Amino acid sequence: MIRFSWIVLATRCALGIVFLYAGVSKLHDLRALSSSVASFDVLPISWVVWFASSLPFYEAIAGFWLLLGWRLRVPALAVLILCVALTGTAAQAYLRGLTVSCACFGEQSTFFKSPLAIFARALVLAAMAGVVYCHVLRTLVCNSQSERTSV
Amino acid sequence: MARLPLRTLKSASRMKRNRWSILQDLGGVLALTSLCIGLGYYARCGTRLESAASSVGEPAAQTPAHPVFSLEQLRQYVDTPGGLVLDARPADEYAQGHIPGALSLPQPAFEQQFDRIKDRLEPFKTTVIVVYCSDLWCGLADEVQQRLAALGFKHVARYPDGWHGWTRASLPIEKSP
Repeated sequence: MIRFSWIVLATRCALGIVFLYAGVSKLHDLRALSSSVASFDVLPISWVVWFASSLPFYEAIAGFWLLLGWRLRVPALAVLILCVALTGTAAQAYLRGLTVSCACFGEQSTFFKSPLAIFARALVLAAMAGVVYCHVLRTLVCNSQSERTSV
Repeated sequence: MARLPLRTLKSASRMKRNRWSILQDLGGVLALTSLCIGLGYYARCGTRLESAASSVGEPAAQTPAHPVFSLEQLRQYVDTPGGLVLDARPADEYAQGHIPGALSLPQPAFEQQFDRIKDRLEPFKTTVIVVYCSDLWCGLADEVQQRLAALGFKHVARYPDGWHGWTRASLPIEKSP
């Protein structure tokens, strides 16, 4: 159980660092990010700008919050939702044979150019976020149960 | 016999508690999303102001609001012979694909490119020219529009949805050799 907690802690920290870095690096070039979001061809063009301008803040805040370790349920769920959405988006881009640009870590990043690579990465991150969220939720239930028992 | 319903009740109450916790978490995520949309809006305004500030002092800053073309208007304009469409994106993006008949006038090298196509632009001093770049977010078309207006072009319109808006509508494109 203790060893498992350490794994969750390591997963949480890794997720926090990845999302904080991704959010901050995206903030430098919001225009490149909006082109990247548009290339997935999922959102109407008028929504692309809103999404692209909000995403870096969402990622950076969620990442920082995960590292902070305070009230973890919200950032863990936020990251989980984002990763699941990205997994679905990358999957549809792959199935439709779209040429996409990820801009995952800003314009300069050359990783994850293909939808399949983006899909695989998002899937791994979603699994990590799922582990953290389920662990936090389980801890909450266990705590409330032990409180009731002690009362 | 009496233990079974009690256990079931306990399990039901735990499930209810779990569901309530997840709903609370979703509320938190919604609040976080709202905050980020607000911050994103602030960042967008900042970028636009920055872009506008770079053109302060130029005569274009005093010109009245420029017209904006919809997709349908641009499609008709492209189909009509004698129109002029300008692509304000960088030259390599133009080479990969552009609106049929569009000329490249990239904002990063405006002066050189303008001199190159000056003769073709001259007849359009008093008629409509349409400028576009990549998408709504892109500010290059705005800048080219303002610079052309400053050079005496009277009716420079902009197509805000840009290249992505055009390709999304599956309209024909042209590639440079």
